[in-house]
Amino acid sequence: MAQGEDGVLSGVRVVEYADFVSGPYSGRHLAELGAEVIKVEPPGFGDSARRTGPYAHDDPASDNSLLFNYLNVNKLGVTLNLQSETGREWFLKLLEDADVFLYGGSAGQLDRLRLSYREVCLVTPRIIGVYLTPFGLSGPYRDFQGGELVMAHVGGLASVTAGALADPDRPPLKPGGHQALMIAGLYGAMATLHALFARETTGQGQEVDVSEFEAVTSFQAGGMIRQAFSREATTREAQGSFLYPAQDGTVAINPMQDYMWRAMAGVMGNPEWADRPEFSTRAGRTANRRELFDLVSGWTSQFLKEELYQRLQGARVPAFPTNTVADVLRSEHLRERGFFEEVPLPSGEKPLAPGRRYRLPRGMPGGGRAAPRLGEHTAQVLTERLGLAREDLVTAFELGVI
Amino acid sequence: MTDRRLPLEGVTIADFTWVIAGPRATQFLGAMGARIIKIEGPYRPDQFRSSPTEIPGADSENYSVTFWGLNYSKLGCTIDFTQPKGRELALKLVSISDVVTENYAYGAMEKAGLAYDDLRNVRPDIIMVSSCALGKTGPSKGHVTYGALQHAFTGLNSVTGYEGEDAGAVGGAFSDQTTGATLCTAVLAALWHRKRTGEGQHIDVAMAETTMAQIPEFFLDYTVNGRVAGPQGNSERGAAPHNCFRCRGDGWLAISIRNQEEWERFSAVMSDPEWTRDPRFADQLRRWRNRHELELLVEGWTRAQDATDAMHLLQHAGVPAGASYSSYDLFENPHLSTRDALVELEQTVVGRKPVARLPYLLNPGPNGRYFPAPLLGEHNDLVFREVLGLSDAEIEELRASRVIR
Repeated sequence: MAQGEDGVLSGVRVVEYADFVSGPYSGRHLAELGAEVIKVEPPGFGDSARRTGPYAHDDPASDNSLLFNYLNVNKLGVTLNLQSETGREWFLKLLEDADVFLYGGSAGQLDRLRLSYREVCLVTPRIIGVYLTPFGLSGPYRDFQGGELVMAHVGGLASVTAGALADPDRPPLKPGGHQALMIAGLYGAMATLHALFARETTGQGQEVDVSEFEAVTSFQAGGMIRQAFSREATTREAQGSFLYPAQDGTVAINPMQDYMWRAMAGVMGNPEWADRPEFSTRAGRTANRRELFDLVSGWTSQFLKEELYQRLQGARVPAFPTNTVADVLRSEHLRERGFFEEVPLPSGEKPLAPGRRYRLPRGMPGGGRAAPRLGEHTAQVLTERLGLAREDLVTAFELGVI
Repeated sequence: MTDRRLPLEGVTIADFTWVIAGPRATQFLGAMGARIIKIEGPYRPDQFRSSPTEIPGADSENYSVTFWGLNYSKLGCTIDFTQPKGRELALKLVSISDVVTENYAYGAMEKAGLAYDDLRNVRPDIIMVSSCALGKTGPSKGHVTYGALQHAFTGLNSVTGYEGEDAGAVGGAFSDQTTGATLCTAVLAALWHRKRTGEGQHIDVAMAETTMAQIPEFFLDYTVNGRVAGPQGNSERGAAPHNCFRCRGDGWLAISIRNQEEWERFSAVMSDPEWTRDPRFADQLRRWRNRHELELLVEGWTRAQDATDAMHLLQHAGVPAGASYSSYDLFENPHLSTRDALVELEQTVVGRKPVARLPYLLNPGPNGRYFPAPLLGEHNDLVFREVLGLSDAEIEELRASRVIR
């Protein structure tokens, strides 16, 4: 957020020790809302997202990761080696002023770092400890290793993802990008706000245990609950069934309600087959979806995807073209809404990217500061906040503490 | 002693949402202690009351399984707010509410005279959170959607699929779910703002935008590098083996080897077969370059394994691995059960069945308040008589004119 402007969480101080995507994405949200987020990274490599592409101008360097630079805008960056006693001491001192400790990493690493809620609470009694770990802080999978691939599969996302040609003999697929970890990050932000409200009520902080696994499986909650009513396996093949061929790609169409189907039949020029009674109800269309798909495809394949999109939406039939990111960036609609925002990069460039998920007209000023270069604010934060002398910093640097 | 009150106690939300995204958000807020009053058309209820999966033998409005899973911790009433008297009643409810949530297609609330300005007239500090396909401004604001179509529109599908092939499809209610979490977060942020400043506001969320926010690195790869990335399958640059492998029976197992240490542990679990010492696989970069050959060999091992057993075997050796599960497998997952990810609720029509709790745990809590989804109009009396103070005669008149049911 822009310096000096008042955000919803102005005055809330967050210390983040979170690696890669999930925890840092929670931190980004809190920073968007005006919280001060001090991101602490291990000296040397830093956050592993710094070594994850794509990189600006395909130039691989730790300040060039576009993923890292997106996830960490508006944070202060400090390096501290928490394995050294001094590094740990300074870190705990940073926590003394914090409202939220945001951890993102494995449960095993957390044990080794001795930063459990019980431990940080001794330092800062009212602190809220938000822990994003692969499988949570309890349960039989507690010490399992995570990562996007593992989460997308074990958490069920792959069971509802299909390739262009669905084939049960080919491997299940993760969705593109880091969907599982981004979801966990979003829930991490929500959970932090929840805990901040709780602290207003009780006067006390608490441990917030965000399991990436649970975050992902919660997206399959509907499917899981259905199992309690009738045990039924799901298939990946059904997932692409909304995608109809156009001359230049595909169009996603879902005339779920009967009135939508009638409207769509109208757009198609009311072919005889569209009147068949088995297609007149939702249950009938579902039961006969293969045949219907072929019939509708015969119609859609005569047109360009944009043409289909406009004609169907003109009749209020839910339909959207399959776009690439380049197509979406050209969307006049999204540009007019001001959705795409400049992401300040450490190099000074300001490329466009998806903006905030939701925009509060009040309390969320937008804009702001580039993600920190590795250790960019170490000296500033440690001298201003902890009152360390320059000489201490020089020694600490040489010993690898910072 | 700790105060055990829930954090949103005292907050009232007039909830006009339906289908998935909105109901998901408001049930979370209900679990946090807010009083959620769900408003449905008496003769046009939430579409998901009757779909997609019906409970055998149950009255079609009460219930579908999907509705049950998305509407816990809410009160339910019916108001036909397209009628003038219904609008008046809805505004009365708004006047005693802190938040209004809605996710109708653009135009529904506006046509009914329930746009933000109308709400603000009766409750100046109201927080309104709206969500529709493309938002309430811009030339295409009227476009209608179901969540899954946003996977196509936003580019998410374009980066999903087998490497080098055409776009695939992310299915399920992915976009609805990300939107639901977004709406809930937006309500919390707006409530915090109001607590500090006394100001309400209108938040206009677009499902398309919340979905695009999930793939920022692909947008930046285009705006900075000019690259339009395609599907990458299960691969991650520099990691190999890194795929999902066929196991015994119908099972599949994802294995993710990202460094030398994990590779050595993985080889040890397989009892170090000869091929693991092949110079082509000697370090991470070589394994990445020769990953296709490598992954065929790995599959030779996984084909003899049970997916779940192999996951345990590998994970206990410190190797990232996960069986590729569906909701069918996850329903009785021992880890989720230990953490009570599903909470059982008792209700007249459905009986004792589970719902998915908030997707995180608070310690010491309280962790949330859960009660079953309302039958259609179940709390009409409570809402109209006790909350709004209407008389029996007034309620009868509304019922006679089909404003309520």
